[in-house]
Amino acid sequence: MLKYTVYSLAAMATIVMFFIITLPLSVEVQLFLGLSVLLVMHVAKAFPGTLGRVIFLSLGGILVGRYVFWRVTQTIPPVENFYDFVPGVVLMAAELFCILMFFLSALIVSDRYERPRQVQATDEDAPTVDVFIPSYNEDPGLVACTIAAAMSMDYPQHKFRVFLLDDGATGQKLNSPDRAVSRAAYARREAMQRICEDLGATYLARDRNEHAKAGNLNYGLSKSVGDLVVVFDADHAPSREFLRETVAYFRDPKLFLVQTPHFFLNPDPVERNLRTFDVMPSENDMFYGMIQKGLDKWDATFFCGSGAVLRRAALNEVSGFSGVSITEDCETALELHSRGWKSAYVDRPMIAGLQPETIASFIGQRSRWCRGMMQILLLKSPLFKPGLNFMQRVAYMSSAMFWLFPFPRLVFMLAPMLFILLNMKIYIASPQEFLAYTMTYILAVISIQSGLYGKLRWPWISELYEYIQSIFLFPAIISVLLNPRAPKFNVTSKGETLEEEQLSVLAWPYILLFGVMLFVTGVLIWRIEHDPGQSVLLTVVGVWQVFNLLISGAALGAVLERKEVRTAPRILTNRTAVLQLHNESIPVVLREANTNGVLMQLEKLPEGGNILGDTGLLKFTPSQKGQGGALKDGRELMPEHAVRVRIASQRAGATGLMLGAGYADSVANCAMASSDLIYSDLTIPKALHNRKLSGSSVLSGSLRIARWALSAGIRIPMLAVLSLLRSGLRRKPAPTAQELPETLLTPAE
Amino acid sequence: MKHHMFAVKTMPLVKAALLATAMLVPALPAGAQEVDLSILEPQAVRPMAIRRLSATTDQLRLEGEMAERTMAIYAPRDEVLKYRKLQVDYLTAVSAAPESSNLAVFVNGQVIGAIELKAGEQNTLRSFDLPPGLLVEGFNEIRFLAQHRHRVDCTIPATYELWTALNPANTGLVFDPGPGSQPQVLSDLDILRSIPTNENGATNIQLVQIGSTAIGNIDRALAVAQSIAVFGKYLNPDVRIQGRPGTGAGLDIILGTRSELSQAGYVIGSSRSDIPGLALVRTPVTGRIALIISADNRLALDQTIETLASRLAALPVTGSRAGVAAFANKFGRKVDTGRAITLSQLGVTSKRFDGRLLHQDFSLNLPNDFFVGDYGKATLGLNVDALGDLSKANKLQVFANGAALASADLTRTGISSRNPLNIPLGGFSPGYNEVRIEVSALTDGDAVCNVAEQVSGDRLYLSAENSAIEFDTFARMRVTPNVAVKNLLASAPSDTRPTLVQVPADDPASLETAVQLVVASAALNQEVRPVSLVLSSAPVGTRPGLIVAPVDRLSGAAKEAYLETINQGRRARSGGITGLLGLDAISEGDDSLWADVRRYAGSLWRGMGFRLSPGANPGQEFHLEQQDVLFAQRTTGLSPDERWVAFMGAPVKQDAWTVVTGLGSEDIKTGVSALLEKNRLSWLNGDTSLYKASTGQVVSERFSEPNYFATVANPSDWRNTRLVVAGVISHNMLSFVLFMAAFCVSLGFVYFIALKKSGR
Repeated sequence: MLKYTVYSLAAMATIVMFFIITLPLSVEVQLFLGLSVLLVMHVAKAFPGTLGRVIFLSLGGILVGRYVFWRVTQTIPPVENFYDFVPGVVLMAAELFCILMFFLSALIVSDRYERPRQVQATDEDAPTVDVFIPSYNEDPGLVACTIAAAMSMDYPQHKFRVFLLDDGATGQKLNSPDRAVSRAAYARREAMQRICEDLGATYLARDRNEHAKAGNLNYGLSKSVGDLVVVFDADHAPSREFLRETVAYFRDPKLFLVQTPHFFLNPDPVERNLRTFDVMPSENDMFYGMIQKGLDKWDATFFCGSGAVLRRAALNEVSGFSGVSITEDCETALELHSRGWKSAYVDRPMIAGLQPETIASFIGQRSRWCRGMMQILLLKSPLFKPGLNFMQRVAYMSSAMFWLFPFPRLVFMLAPMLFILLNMKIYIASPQEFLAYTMTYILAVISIQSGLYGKLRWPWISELYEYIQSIFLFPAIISVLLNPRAPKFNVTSKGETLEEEQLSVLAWPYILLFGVMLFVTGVLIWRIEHDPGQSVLLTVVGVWQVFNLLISGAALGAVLERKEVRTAPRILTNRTAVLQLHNESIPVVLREANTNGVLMQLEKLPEGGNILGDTGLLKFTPSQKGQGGALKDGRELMPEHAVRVRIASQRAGATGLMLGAGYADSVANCAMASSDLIYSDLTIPKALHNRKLSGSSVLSGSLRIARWALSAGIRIPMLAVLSLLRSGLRRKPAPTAQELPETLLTPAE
Repeated sequence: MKHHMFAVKTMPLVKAALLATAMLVPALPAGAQEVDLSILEPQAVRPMAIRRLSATTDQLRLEGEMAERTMAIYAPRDEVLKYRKLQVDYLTAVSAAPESSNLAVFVNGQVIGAIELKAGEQNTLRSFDLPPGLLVEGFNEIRFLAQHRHRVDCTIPATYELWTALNPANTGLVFDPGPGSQPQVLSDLDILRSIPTNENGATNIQLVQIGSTAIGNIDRALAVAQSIAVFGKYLNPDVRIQGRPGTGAGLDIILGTRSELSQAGYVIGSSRSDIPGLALVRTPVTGRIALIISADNRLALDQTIETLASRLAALPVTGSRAGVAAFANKFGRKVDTGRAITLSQLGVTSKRFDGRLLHQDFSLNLPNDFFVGDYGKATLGLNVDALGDLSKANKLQVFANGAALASADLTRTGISSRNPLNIPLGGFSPGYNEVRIEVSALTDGDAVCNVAEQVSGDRLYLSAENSAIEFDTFARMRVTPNVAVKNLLASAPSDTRPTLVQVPADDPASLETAVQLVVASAALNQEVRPVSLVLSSAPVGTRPGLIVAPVDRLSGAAKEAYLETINQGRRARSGGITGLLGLDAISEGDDSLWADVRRYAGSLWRGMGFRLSPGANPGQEFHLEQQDVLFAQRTTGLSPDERWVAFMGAPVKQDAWTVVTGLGSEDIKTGVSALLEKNRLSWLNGDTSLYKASTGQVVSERFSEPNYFATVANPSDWRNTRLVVAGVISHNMLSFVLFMAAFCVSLGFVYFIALKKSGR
């Protein structure tokens, strides 16, 4: 009863809000109202918790709502001016789309669910688990590391199995008429089988590559029997605690999914090229740090393809993983939600993975996500799908429609040009109205973004990422709209290297668009000087144009691929070990590690002088994280790791001698060692990551974009001209652990 | 002495009072010169009769580089063929360059002549032949188009020094009245559209008080005067109450029962009118008309007056097309929402302009219950082509009722109706509104001002056919107290009780001012309101109604209303943003740093295209000086319940005191006359307005809380309510913002609870 009373009150308050929103106030009143509400918003922002946040959003919602009403009713060019009217409507549609997404997003994240922790402390009632590691063309060393990390998970050994689902060596590939393909498939199968055998995992390869990843996972389902299924992408290695921290939630019999956040050890190409990885929140922090928690409130957390636990019984009900779209993860969750199954999000990073290294790979990955979500939108129609509750529909629509962002982003880039170049009036408003409505709306949106996502997304970074993706995602969307069943699954390349700084192979459209922006800005300046009658309006539009210019300039910085010779990221660690070298046991502290080797600190140089190129045995105790409870049960510590290493570099540091060493052992042994050093305990990388989750003011965000735009806007076009005379991007596949580049483990200064 | 038929008493010709009439420079153009009135002495009496234009000297002033005046003149059937010439008596500013200043005269759209305007000309009287057939029976349009160029100055302020003033005494249609001078008995009520105006351009209406009869007959005569003012749209009534009919141009209204008229010496015979007891008599030379209404008793008299009013209301407007249009537009064209009115429909003609400041006036008539507030806008789509190579600093400005409301910069090509200018509704008033458009057209050469080369071709082209104004919406709500001309005789439309017009008993000047206001507001509002004159030997103002008296003769609520205006502490702070920030009430004498800062901020605010708060005054105080007139209205307070009932449209009784006062009776009379001559009655707004005779400005303010009375058929109409609320908000910005903050907190709290009751 109370619930419905509250709903009625909320409905009435909403009606009053709509009344206020539609009041035709004068520009003076609107300006005063806007500035006052912005002021109150800043006060409300200071109040922590959901109540303060909802009041803050209500205030912002009023301003945004007033802007929308004014925009729709007052600013559309008359239909008689057809050439203004059409682009005017397109621009308004783009804005309305963004505002709709804003409201949906605000609704979803306004009350984020902080899920109570549940740990599977005992072994007796622990459900059986099958861990699937689907693979297609990933490097065996990378896959081995993931398998090793999975095998090292803290869980009763007899209650979980690890399966490598190898789609890179299916019967179809083995029997390919292309001898090169066949030969590579045989070699891959042999290597993978050996790794699995050494690590204790089960190798599975099906006959045909049907339905891509979903088909591969379903094959795994058909060959396994565990109560629960865990999916790790081949480059997503779990920490030891993963199963203990997730399976306990399945005591709820209606739960089909526990999704955990994806934690990345390396920067995405934008972060790397703009050198922001160590200081700025990553792009996915907002999704995993906030949106998934908001979705969890409404029981709409969806499967993200990796780092998730699923209930086999639920999957069986929908005949396994769905494969209609190329985003099988979200699609599967949608199907199960519509059948009344529930999902959970555990905000505890327990898998560490890799992001694509190049802009091309990054765009390719996003293109798949975008096309897949478009397929879901078109083929699965979440809005009308039976079985979903209202908020689940909203959540899925929001998630799918988000990927339409290239449309408004490109419209926003092009719109000011129409006025500057062609004098088209596609947005009918006086400068005073721009000030009273548009400016207050923009400030409200910036304030809301800052208030809601400030620590997870710096100002203008969303715009930058969207712009970078839009140029290539827009045609992808069009192709899906024309033929929704056409898209095919593509695997994102990981572990690429760049031997020298060079322009991305996708750089040219960005350079051309920047050139156009620059030209239009020049015309703008000329017009402001020579067309005084429109100088105020031109100035208003000019601010917009300059903003676009800065974004496109900053994007140039992102498409200049920085030099990257490491195939695997290094993470900081602090583990003691013993290096046996020339019959001498030297105590060392492992300071850094990656899948190829370690950087160790020792007090003095071993006897024998130059040790570069020498091989030794590195011994260390495996991480005990997550085993505290188990050890009390009387079980023994895990056996000591021993892995052969070759000294690759040495230098004297302030705290002693630093040695860089690459693994020189079997793949399985290297994987066991590196997975333990890197993935078993993510405390240090997570702490480093959390350190950068801090806000940035709009001013500093703007200055940052301007700085990037200025430096890249001058440099990149010159490089582009030079690159016309040279070959394009030189890329080579990631080397295996055995092919250790000499520069790889050179200690940082 | 008794006469046959409708013989009327005569009295000496009233000397023209042109010089007594203030002829001040209109307020807007700051740099304007005053007219040397000595040159406007009435010319020697001519043997020809003249039918003057119905306009005062102020209204016949053609100001600026290009000025246009259009008016309608009614030609009665029996005189139209006699009109042979149009006579113009004019005076031009000394600043006008003679070689490039001229005046063109149009009748029904046809040029009948032009004058080269030279300052200091000896002979300023010119007449033009009217081609046969050009004038038609009924209304005809007469249009004057003056073009001036300054002798030495190329700046915008210099354009305000350019004017040509037409002398109303000697400007009009002249004709030979013929040999007969006997009064003519007429039957056609249309003749009441051609009451001749006096030398001042005013329409003298004399209410003839018959002997010692009760003042009730004056009330009736006043009702008849209102009906005629509405019928003929007489803007400048000069209403007098005398015991005898007047002489010269004008109208006498003589009414009473037969016995009363008989006792006063009027012989009652048969008339040619089909309304029993009504007769119209005209003196050929002066054109003066006597309207005589008689009946057997008071009841029959009232019925005859009602019959007359209904007949007048039913008579169609005839004349030439242009004349009918000019008459229709005289008090502004009726405005409907959502329908564009082209400027040509408003009487504006397309024109090429070679000066530096083009200004164009037109008038609009908004609904009587139009709720003033900034909840909507009028959209002015103006098509002005820039023909010359204009400089960068040219602007379009729009004024309504003297207040600058909107502005825009000129583009290289001019102004296109594709980029309409938004004019806030809060600057308009219910009923009659004057709108002025000013477009500057400076070139870089104007800065050098080489007079020899200053005429360098056309600079602007205004296309009246392709320019239009459109009002998007009107809220309908009566607001009290309110001194707008529509509400001057405050009473609810449904209230049929007469408004008490109270004046001191021994104060004829106040009495004439009161009746003058009643008739003028009837003409402007196109509405007859029942009134009842109350002459009191004691101070007046204790009863609701219209109170016209000097400040020392006021009492009761009327006195309190006046005292409120001189009490600074009682003045309500303007609710607009500039009012809140104190930008619109800076005393002229305040030269403190803080005042300078506020002035600068206000200037910046205006520079950004915003305007000061509705009703804001530039720091004026309401202290009366000679010839100043204060209009203040106060009402009885309503309880919260009554306010709500009124807002929802149910009848609620509320008394209103409308005070018209000044330092002395003559000050009031002179001030009100000047206000009417300058056509400033429509500028009154708020609950208090002060006409400053020294500047010609009207300063308005609101001292008391407004009450709202729904006037629409469906008071709960969502659309109207929404507009009214928006309008109220525009006057109470701070309260609204505080409400919004409280509302958002409540909204957030309710949503918070709802969120917590939903999902996980």
